[in-house]
Formats: sequence, C-alpha cells, structure tokens
Amino acid sequence: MSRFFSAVLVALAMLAATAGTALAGSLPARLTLTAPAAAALGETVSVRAQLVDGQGGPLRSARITFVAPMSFLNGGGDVALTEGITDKEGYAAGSFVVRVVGTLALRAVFRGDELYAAAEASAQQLAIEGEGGHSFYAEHAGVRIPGLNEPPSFGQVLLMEPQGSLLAQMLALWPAMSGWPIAGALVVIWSLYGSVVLLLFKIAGVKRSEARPSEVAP
Amino acid sequence: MEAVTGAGGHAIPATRPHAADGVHAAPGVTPAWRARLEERGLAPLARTGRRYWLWIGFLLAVIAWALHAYQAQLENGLIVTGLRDRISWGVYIASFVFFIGISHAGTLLSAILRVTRARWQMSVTRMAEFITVVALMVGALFPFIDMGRVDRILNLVQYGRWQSPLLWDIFAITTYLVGSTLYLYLPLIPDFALARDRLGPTAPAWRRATYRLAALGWRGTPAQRRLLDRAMTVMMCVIIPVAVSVHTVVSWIFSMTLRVAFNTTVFGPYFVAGAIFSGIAAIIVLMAVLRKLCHLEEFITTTQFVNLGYLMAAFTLIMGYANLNEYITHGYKMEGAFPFHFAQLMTGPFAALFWFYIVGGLVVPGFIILNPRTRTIAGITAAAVLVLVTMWLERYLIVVAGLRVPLMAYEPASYAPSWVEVSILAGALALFALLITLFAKIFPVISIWEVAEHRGPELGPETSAMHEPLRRPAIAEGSTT
Repeated sequence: MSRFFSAVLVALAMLAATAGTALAGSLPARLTLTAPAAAALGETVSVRAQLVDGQGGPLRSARITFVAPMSFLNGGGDVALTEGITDKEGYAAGSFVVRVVGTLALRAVFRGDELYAAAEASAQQLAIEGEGGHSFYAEHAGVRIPGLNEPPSFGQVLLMEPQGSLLAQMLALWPAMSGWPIAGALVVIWSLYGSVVLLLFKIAGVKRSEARPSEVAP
Repeated sequence: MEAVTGAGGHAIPATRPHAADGVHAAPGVTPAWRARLEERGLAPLARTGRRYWLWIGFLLAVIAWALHAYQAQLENGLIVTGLRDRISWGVYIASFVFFIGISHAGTLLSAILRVTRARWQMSVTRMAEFITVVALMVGALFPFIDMGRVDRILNLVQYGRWQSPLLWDIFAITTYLVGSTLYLYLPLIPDFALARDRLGPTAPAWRRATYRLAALGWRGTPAQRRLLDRAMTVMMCVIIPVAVSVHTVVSWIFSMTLRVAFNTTVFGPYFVAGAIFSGIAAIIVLMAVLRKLCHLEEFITTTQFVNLGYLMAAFTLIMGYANLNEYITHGYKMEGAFPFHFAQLMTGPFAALFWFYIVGGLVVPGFIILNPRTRTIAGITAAAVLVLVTMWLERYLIVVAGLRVPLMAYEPASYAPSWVEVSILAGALALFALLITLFAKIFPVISIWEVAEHRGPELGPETSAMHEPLRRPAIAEGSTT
C-alpha cells in the first residue's frame, strides 16, 4: 500500500513539475524603451524602459538589461551597458557613458521569469558625435603640450559635471595632472645637465697659457 | 718605473712627462706607489692577450644566439614565448627591473659615498659607474623586446600619455642614462689626460686621438680643477634624487596597475632598497673579477670588500624589514585575493623560489658577512652572487606571481619561459659582460687620479676605512693629475 502511495506522490510531483515548466514564462510581457536620439562623446546617457503584462499592467521587480551590439578585435556581441529593476509602475532606468563615436543600436532586454516570457524592445539608433571617428580613449592620447599644440585641458575630467567640494574637484583632476610635476622636475634636471655640459666647454676652453699647476702648487 | 708592454699591445713609457707629475697626493703616496698605480690602472688599455679575444668571441656567440631567438620572436610573434593574455609580463620585465636595479650600483652608490666622503670607495667608483651605464643600456632593451611589435615603438611618442607611468619611465630612464654617462665621464677626464700622456706613440692613432679628444685639453690647471670640481658637485647632488626617482617610477608601473599583488604603497622604497641591494652585489662581483684579471690586488683590498659587504648586510635587514612589513600587513587582513597570492608564494607553485629568495637572499648573505670566518673576499663575493641570483628571482616572483592572481573567477594561468626568453636573457647577460669588457679596455678601471690624491695606499690593518679621518674628496686647487 505504501508503495502505491509513494508511486502516486511521485507521479503527482512529476505532473506538477511538468505542468509548472509548461506554464512558466508563457504569459506575454511587453517592453518599451525610451532613449535619446543623440549624445556627445563622453556624455552620460540615461535610458528608461517599461515592462507591462498582456493587459498593460505594470510588472515590478523585474531586471531589465540595456544592451548594444559591439565588436572588439575579432569578436563581437551584445554588450550590457547598464541595467535596472522595474518599479511599481514597471519602469527601470539606467545610465552609461558613451565611449565610442558613431551609432549605437540600443535594446532593452527582459530575460523572462517563471511567469512571464522574455521580451525585448529597441529604440531608434543613438547617434554619438565626436571628432575624427575615434574611440573615446584615443581622444586624449598623444603627447600634447597645453598652450603649445592644444588648448589647456584636463582630459576627460572636463567632460563630467563638477561634483562635490572644491577640494574634491581638485582631487578628481589629479589623475589627469599627475604627469606635470614630473615634467617640471625633468626641466630642472635637464637644465642642470646643461649647466654641467657648459662647464665641460669651459674646461676645454681654459687657455693653454695658464700657469702649469706644478708651477703654482705650494 | 718600467715600461709596460703586453702581448699585441704597446708600451706605456713611464718617463713620458704628464701634467700629473709632481701632484698633491694623499698621505703615504710615494712616487713608486703612484707609478705602480698608473701602471696597473693603464695596463689593460695597453695589453690585449689571446684570452681576451677568446672571451669576446664567446660573448659574441651567445649574443648571436640571442639574436637568432629574437628573430624567431619577430617572425612568429610573442606566441613563441611563454607570455599569454593573463601573464603578459615574464622574464623580460623581471630582467628589466633587475638590470635597472643593479644600475643603481654605480652612480647612486658612488655619489652617496662621494658625498659622505668615504675615502675607501675611491678605488671602486669607476667600476660602479661602468655598471650603471652598461646596466641601463642593457635593461632599457627589455621593454622593447617585451613589446613584440618593435615597429610600434614610435607609438610611445605619438600616442604616449603624460598620465601614464610607462611614459614617466621612459623619461626617467633616459634622464638617468644621460646623467650617469655625464657622471661617469667627469672623473674620467684627468684619467683620459693621463692615458693621453702616458700611452706611447706605438698606441693606435685612433686610441691616442680618442684620449686627446676626451681629455678636453686637461692639464690640471687650477681653473680646470675648479670647473671640474663644480661640475662633479652638481652631478653628485642631481644624480642621487634622479637615481631614486628612476626606481620609484619603475615600481609605479606595478603599483599603479590594478592587480591585487601590486596593490601596495611600499613598492617605491622597496624597489629603491632592492635596487641598491642588488647594485652593491653587482659591484662586489665586478670588483672581484677585475681585481683578479687586472692585478689590482694592491689597490682593491679587503677594505673595499668588507665595507661594501657590511653595506650589503645592512640592506639584507632593510629588505627583510620591507618584506615583513608587506606580508604581515596583508597577511593579517587576508582581504580579497591575498589568501590565493600568499598560498601560491609560500606553499604553492612558487614556494621553492620564494623561500630560496628569503633564505638565500636575505638570511645567508648576512650570516656570511657577519661571520668573521667567512668575511673574506671569496666569502663576500659568494654572498654577492647569491644576492644577485635571488634578487632576479624576487623580481620574477613580483611579476609572474603577481599577474597569476586571477582577476575574475577563472583558473589561474601558468607561465614558464620558453627557449626564446631564456636565450634572450642569456644574450642580455652576455651583452652586459661584453660592454663591461670593452669599457675596461678603453677606460682605466680605477679612478687613478682620485686614488692617488684622495685615498693613497693602505698603511696597515688599523687604517681600515671605518677609522679613517674624513677628508673632503674635492679636487684640491693647485694640485695636478
């Protein structure tokens, strides 16, 4: 008898599991994505998506990932730029800094859960403006002397909104400025080297007619 | 004094007049002693034996093999090395740090000893300065070898960033190389003049012309001495901070990289201390070799070995303290990936190298030097060799073990140098030895005028350098060399 009940319980469990699997993610979900049409290189872009069910009711606590296809070297694929969790109205928001010029085909992705099926939404392509079609990092590469071959600049720090106290802002500039004290030290050292070389020229220029040391030595 | 004639060489006529005749001399300097000093100091410039050419041939053969290995790397890329994406620095960068380290031997140590007026060092400053220039020349090659695509060197200039420690390093090493070369050259001027005046007409014309040009018309006049004294004072003061900054910047390449094992503020002083430590060892080894080969036993005595040995022993304590400080701080907290790093160093794949470094590099040399029985020239030289080997291993551990710590949840990578890397390292060591050999053939290996004027002969065991009265090693006005 007990074997019979055990078999029934196992069968019921298998049925429940099968039914659960079949039911999970079957409910339709709909996603909409809101994103700006254009941005400048280095700008922080904010994106927002809303997840609703088949009747238009908002779905809360769902993870939405904002992705865009990118390639690097010989590989490529969707890169997750940011993600957010939907609030009680079904909205999830995120932000990211654009680091390449050109266009970005943004998509919002909901991967589905035990009740709702996966959903995706795309927005119009995000156009990112920048000079020369280079990547964000190349923008500041190269040995450039402010005032000599480029206007005074502190690199990418200027692309951000100043935040915090004056001290905090100055500290934030440090990574960009840290080379300059070294450049200053180099100028001092090489000047001293130059003075030594001048002394060498003076040694070579001492007139032969000067008294022999053996003649002046006590 | 007898004229010196070597096999295949030319004579050094002792009677030939020189501006140095009738100089101000250090206490105890007699004409005979000074004549022996000049003879011994200039002899390598005049003599060239068969063994010399055999040695040169051997070194050139090793370098040729290394060039063959480098050609294989250029043709096939860095895939022929053991370097991969996760451990992208290996033997090359460890050797770079090692050579830049021993370059501290010379200029820094020589400048410090000059500034502190340590008279005993006069016999070894020239060798120390050789090491600096040669080690910098060899060490600076390694980053380019490590680049793989050597044709991209110009990118460093074209796309270099002031914010990058790599660019700082290029400037620092260039500045140090130029400064060290100047610092090597300045005290050579009176010795060039000596060689110009002493080497006979049988010397090759190019050699006489070189010495005449390099001597800058030196006649030891008071004005020339004043100018040389001023130039050396400037360089002494400049070169110490430059030398310290070079190895600090080298350490920043590591400590400013986002790697767990490099994440420490002690790297700056630790690298500088390690550089001086290995630098002293390099001087001792070179001193032992040149003393033997150039028959300089009278001028390089136990005093120099013992004093440098004491200095090296002091640095074993400093290095031990730095290691203790580093490992006990991180070991107490064991944050993040440090348990992994400590395990791989102390009980894992690097344990043998790590403990060999700790015991063989920091403990044994100290005992050898502090034990009166082993405090001999042979014992101190053996300790120095041990220090050199273990300090190379220490750099290898910093680089390879540091990069082996996973940044994410992946299996730790493995690294073993390939035949290409080992061959190129052997070639670099051969190039180092070749340049030292050539330098010793062109320049007097001891600073003859400084030894004669500021050091003099050792008068007895009681006049060890530790008890000598301090005397300013400036160039006495009115004296000549």
